[in-house]
Amino acid sequence: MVLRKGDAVEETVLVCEDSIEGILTGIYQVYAWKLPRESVRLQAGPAQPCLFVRYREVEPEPKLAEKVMNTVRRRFGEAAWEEISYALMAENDGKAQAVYRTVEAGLSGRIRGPLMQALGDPDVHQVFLLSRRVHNVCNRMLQFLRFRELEGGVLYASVTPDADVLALIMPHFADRLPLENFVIADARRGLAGVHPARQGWFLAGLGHKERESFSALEGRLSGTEREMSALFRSFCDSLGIRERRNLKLQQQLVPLKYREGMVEFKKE
Amino acid sequence: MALQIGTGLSLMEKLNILSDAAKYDVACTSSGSSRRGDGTGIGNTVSAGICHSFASDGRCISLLKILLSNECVFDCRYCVNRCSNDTARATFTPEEVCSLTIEFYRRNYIEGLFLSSGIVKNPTYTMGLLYQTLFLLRRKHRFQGYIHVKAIPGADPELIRLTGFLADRMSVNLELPTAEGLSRLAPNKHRRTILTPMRQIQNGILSSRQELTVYRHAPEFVPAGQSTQMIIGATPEHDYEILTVAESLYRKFDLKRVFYSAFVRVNEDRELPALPGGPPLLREHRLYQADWLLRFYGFEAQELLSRERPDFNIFLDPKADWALRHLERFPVEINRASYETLLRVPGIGVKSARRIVQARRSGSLDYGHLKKLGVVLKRALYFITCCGRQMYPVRLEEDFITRQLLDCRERLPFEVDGVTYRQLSLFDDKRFVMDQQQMVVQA
Repeated sequence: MVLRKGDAVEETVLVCEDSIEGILTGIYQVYAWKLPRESVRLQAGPAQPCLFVRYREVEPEPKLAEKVMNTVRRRFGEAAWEEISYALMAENDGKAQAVYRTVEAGLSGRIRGPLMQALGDPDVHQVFLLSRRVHNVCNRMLQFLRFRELEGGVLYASVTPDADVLALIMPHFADRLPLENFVIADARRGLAGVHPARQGWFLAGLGHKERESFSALEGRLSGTEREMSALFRSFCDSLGIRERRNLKLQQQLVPLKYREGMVEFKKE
Repeated sequence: MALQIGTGLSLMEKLNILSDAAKYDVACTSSGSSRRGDGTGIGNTVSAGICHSFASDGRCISLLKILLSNECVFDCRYCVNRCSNDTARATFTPEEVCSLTIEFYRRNYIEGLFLSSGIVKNPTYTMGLLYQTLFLLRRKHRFQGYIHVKAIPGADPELIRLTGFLADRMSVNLELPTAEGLSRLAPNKHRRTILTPMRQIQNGILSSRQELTVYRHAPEFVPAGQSTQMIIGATPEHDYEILTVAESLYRKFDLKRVFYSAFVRVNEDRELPALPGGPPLLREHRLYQADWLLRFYGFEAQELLSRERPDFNIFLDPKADWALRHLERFPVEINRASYETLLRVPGIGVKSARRIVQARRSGSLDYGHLKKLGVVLKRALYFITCCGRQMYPVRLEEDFITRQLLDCRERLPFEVDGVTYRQLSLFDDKRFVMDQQQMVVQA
């Protein structure tokens, strides 16, 4: 599509799939379709329809996405790519647009020098905030995720993170527990990270049936599980110093929403 | 053996007794060591450390913090486990410690083991028990997570050396800041026996590092460094003395951390101070703040305190306090000042100073930018200028700024932060608010 003089200037919105591939393909198409770079907008996931806006669907294509990824890596470095890829995993409506504007600012030369350090730019700043948020969610998962041992020695954890971080936390646990069979289920997105002992890990989508059978797993704990969680609970209780009691500080450090799966906060 | 008193205890009872006995030890960090698992066992370490839970006092639970035994032969007056106290005694077997560590670790409850012990029989025997436990955990169970172990002062140096190759971090507790206080409250401990293993570990770390540069697979000796801790408020030292001791420990012994622990009165003893207001938590907090200033902000103990002003200001943090006494150095220009100068501005930390230095390369910064970069403007605004302007005209007077800083609410005049609009609310009507308050009072 080429805009000619006299054409009605209406905004174009590229609707991409809400995934890293989808958004990167969207960025590629802005250049491939020669859209006006200043006014085009990117939207991840279904858009709220507006007047005077033309919507164009973008089909995710791995090859095009890879091209954009390689360009970002080559031009702005590995660290900038990591930050951008983290931002792309956030749960946020504006992420596609912020990442697009950041990459565009770097490519057009509006921002010189290290891209992700130019925090004065509003889009770069937005990407920075998003990636920091995803990093924080990740870290909270590493801290507060709790495995429960099922019959047969399989470790099972169910989580509900605020961002799609399963792929980011699996390597950590796979490196940590190489000889264990373990599963981390993201109940919110219907995804599961599976790690068979001594093998590589993989992600699996969960259908309706699998979700139900997963939620039934909680009832089939192994014999030592109850004992171990009781031991840890009493350990945590006895570790607090009465004279320094400060529940407000505790809640600041372990927000209530993370406590659901944590055995030390359960009364049993 | 004559000392085996608590043999009939269950694992749960032992854990309760021995974690309760270990809780006054403050060091519970799992940082400083980065190691990937080798695929043959369990565990790895992350250099930033991971806190897995937080106790009801807000302190983190990162490691399985236990004593191997609380059957101590020493009689330190401040300690719950002193031999003259009538408390429940218990001892773990090394195998019990290993299985607890592994079972907790694989459920992601903990990041590793923190092992300390009361003095069983004598220091060397105790150190032998610690070594045995660590050896079992590392070699038999192939545990590669974090291990923090105490070096027992007075133990055989060879045992300390061997243990160091199995642990990530070692620590020797200084217990009290001065030798005089130590001899008064801990008659069995001596300054010299505490500093000797500290020096030994320091030299061990140094030579291990040199070896590692030549041989990549040389065994690592205490890769996460060593730490120590001091009890604050049990003896009448001033903050100045404590901070000077900490500074010399950082400089002369290459310590990673010095921990301060507010004294909790657990024993009735005439040598110990009565603390009607509870443990001196605020003082501990100020010391930690100053400790950070020493390690990351390029301050020296001499700058923060002096013999004439030996204690910290309770109301202001040490950095703001310093800045108020050195107003001749302010205001500093954000777009020009060096990184070291920025670090000394209250409200600017290590991260925001670094971000400022990076971000100003691509254009000059104003107050809106600073806010986004994470600068705490309500503290910083008295000490900085952006492009030669103050955020709004303020007097550089010590009294005025002190008053403003103590007033914790952020009182920026309307519009100075660039926001020229306000959210309208139904409840903005003054009369309505008054009515509400009256209703609450009546209810």
